[in-house]
Amino acid sequence: MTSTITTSTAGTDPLRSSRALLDIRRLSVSFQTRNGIFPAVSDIDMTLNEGEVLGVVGESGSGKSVTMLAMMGLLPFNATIEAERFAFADHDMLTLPDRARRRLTGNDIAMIFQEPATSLNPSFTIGYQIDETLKVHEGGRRRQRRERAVELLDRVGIPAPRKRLGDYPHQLSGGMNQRVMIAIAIACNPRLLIADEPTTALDVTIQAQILELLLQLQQERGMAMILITHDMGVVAEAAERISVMYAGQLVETGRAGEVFHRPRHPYTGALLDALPERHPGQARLPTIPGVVPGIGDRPTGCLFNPRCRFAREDCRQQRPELLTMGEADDPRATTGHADQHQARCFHPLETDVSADRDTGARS
Amino acid sequence: MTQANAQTSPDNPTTSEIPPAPHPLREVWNDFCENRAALAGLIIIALIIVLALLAGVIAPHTPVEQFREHVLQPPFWQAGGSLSFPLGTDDVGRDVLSRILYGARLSMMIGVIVVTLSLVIGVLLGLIAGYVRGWVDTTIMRLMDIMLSIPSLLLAVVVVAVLGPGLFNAMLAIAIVYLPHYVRLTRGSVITERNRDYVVASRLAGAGPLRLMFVVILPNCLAPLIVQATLSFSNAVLDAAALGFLGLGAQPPTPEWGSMLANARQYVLDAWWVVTFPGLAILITVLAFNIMGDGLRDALDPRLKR
Amino acid sequence: MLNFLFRKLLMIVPTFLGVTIITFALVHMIPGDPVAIMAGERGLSPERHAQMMAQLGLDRPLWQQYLDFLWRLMHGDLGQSLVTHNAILSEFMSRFPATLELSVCALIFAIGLGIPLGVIAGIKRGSIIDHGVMGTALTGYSMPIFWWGLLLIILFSGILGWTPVSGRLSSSFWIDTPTHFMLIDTLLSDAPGAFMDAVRHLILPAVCLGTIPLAVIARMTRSSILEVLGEDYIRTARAKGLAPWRIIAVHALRNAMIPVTTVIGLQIGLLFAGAILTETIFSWPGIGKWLIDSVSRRDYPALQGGILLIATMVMIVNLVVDLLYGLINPRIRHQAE
Ligand SMILES: Nc1ncnc2c1ncn2[C@@H]1O[C@H](COP(=O)(O)OP(=O)(O)OP(=O)(O)O)[C@@H](O)[C@H]1O
Ligand SMILES: [Mg+2]
Repeated sequence: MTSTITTSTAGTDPLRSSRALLDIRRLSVSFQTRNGIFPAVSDIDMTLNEGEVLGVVGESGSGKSVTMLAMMGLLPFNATIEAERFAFADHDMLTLPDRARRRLTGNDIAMIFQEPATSLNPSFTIGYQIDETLKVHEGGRRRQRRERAVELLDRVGIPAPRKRLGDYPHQLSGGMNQRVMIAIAIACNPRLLIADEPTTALDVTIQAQILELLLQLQQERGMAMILITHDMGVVAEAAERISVMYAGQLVETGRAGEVFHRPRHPYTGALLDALPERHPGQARLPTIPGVVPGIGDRPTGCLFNPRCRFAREDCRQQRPELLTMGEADDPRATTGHADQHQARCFHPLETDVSADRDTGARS
Repeated sequence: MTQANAQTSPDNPTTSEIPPAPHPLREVWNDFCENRAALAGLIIIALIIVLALLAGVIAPHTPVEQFREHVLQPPFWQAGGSLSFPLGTDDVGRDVLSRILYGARLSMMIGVIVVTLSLVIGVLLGLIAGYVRGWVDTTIMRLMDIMLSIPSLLLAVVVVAVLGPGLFNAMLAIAIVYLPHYVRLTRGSVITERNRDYVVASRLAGAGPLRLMFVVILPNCLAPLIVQATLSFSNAVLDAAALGFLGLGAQPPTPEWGSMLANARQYVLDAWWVVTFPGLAILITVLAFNIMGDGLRDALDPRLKR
Repeated sequence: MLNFLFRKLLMIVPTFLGVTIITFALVHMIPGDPVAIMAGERGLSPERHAQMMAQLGLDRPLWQQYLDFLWRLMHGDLGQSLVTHNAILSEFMSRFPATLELSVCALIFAIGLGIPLGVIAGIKRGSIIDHGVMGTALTGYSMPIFWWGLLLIILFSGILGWTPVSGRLSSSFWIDTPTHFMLIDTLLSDAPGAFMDAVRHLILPAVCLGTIPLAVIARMTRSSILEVLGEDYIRTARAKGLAPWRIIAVHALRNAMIPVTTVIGLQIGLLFAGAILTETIFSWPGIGKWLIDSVSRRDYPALQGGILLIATMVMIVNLVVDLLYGLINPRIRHQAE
């Protein structure tokens, strides 16, 4: 990596947009714990083009956050990251020196976290916390930065933004704090925004607003976005592509519409089956029995097999690879790795649920 | 000197596992042993206790015998020293080593008496305050607040001034000064414990207040009390020595480490050994108890586990 | 904020009254009566004795004496020393600057060294530096300071000959003491070398007195930093691409200092206790030495007044620490409003 570090903002270079903004091959993360080494994430592939929205779903503990933190370089010291390839905007992140990497984080890649209440520093005003990002990455006069901060707060929908600059996080509601987090994240016009369950900790009424805001900003600025959530419904609405994770592995990935209407992995199927809109009028939704295997209880064979309704003998013996699913009727199947519909299953589902009520993938 | 960070979590450790795990004590012991420093502390304490008990056998001389022809003789490795007084002699020709060994007895005794006194009285007051509540509670806690607003050594000095100098009065003074810590700790635990299910269940089963206080609630407040007791043991040794040093504790010729130092002060520039060794004995003892206290706290504190 | 202050002040009143009762009671529990002590060795005739008792109001019921005591207290009258017959308040005040100077320097030493050491140990958790700092801190924490002071004297005064053994200033200097703070007075005076002489006198006692607070502050800073470094907002700061020094110095330190200030506040009470020992070792003419001298001279009113003043000061310091705590912790500040 000899090229100078670009601090330019969203896809100004038309040539670049043809290439993937983010390209990750076989990313693995393991933690050194008291009870030995725990592989939290194994062999994840992820590609993302400029301006694209990728949804990542999976239950708690499936390794979504760990993957994202690995991308941001934010894992704690007991984590080991390995990858075959990890490129962001033509930078080889595996060899990029720390200083150069810091110039990218917060500037070209930004992240929003799950807990707005604890993610902001309680001892500093929100004005300070927004200004800090601007100061570090863009410099400029204090006055101008202040104006930028006001604009940003205004943009993320905080009323009377000028007055709010001097407030401390505890003076704002959770939803407002998350808006501030978003303002910080978009302050330097990142090319990739990672939103890790940005709405989980919020009231249901506010969840939709925040999500709407994020999607507006994404469109408006042409950012690429990775949206993590438990909620299949949200992903289906927002994302162009979906990756489903289970126990640190990618179990299914593909275009949102395809994954949503034609899930191939039983886990994806079960997640979709748990959506309320698939069971109108029903009080009780189907659930997936059991939990994601933790540190000590990884099964042999397919990691999902103990919870899988369709598990057979081979599922208990061998671990399936991620296989491209034949979708003869779909011309996109051959356009590239990123667009392929893949699933990690010996016996992929054949059901076609597109007949169900259309929750519609965003095109 | 009181320990600012001695308090363990108010919500009590041992209650989190109401159906007792196979060997909860064993688990604490294992955790404790994993902390090698803490284990070293325990071994040093054991060693000090053995030395204290065997002082009569090991010590080359009695602690008060004066060898007038050997006044201020240096330790054996220095010119003029001899092996019959391994750590030298003091200003009236007493053997420093023997005095330190007998001093260990005194220090251990001081620690045990002070901790027992303040623990028993403090726990009693704390149980009463936490269980009875109301004006009794307010009165006790206000009194403790007042005692805490006077720096502990200062309060001990005043108490000794009232009672008159001497080792026994010094111990009493220190025990009084340490009361508030035990009272606060016990009361805090009792208040959190008394509304827990198992206490309510015992009450419904007809357990009387005394039984509730001592048999049901108290065992569940033990962990922080044990830690506090270890740490105040070391503080008691330290404070008793300080009072001895100020001439308010043990009186000469008692071989108490602090009063040995008080006596040695005037020779500080001429005879380093009379000053160095008694102080070293205090430091090692206090350090060993503090290391062990830290280890115990870590082993007993469930928040730090895993 | 004012409301907060007011409530805190209100809480202090009963404690203060309690301290007055206790100090009053202590002095009256002491065996032997003050008139006999005043008379000294010579003794008094019974008539003169009774006359003096009446004169001092000591023949009245205890509660009246207490109210009297309280009344005089309100007017700043703490009584007279039995030995020097000076007003206790002025005796106290003339010695207090020496103790204050010593304590402030000790605290500066403890904070100035303890916080950086704790931060470094916290950042380098588990390293040799960490173990070294924490081992030293635990040793310092367990240190009998009356012995530590003597060791310092052996090393720096005896072997190296760098520092004097006792006092605040060499007797060869004769300077005016308008402020009673020797460091300031020597600077104001034009005696050459006086300031450095005062510093040399101050350095060992300050180090001796500051050792335990240093150890406590270092330990507290370390654990506080470790706790803060695990917080979500530190992750956010890293996600902003801030430099590691900035994350520590700005985001971690500010929050880690909140519990540390409380601990520093607690140290101030302990400094007075430590001053008793330190001043005795170094013959430092401050409050600590005065109190011990009062005990040995059985000058109980002086002891009573001294304790009362120190307890009051400790309470005020705790109040100030509480306020400071609110100032650096915005959550508390707004709660109080
Ligand atoms: N610092 C760590 N040390 C050890 N294990 C960790 C650490 N951080 C995460 N893990 C483990 O990694 C696994 C994946 O966690 P992760 O936080 O990525 O899940 P997630 O998919 O984001 O879940 P959620 O939806 O609850 O956020 C979990 O089993 C977790 O216990
Ligand atoms: Mg997560």
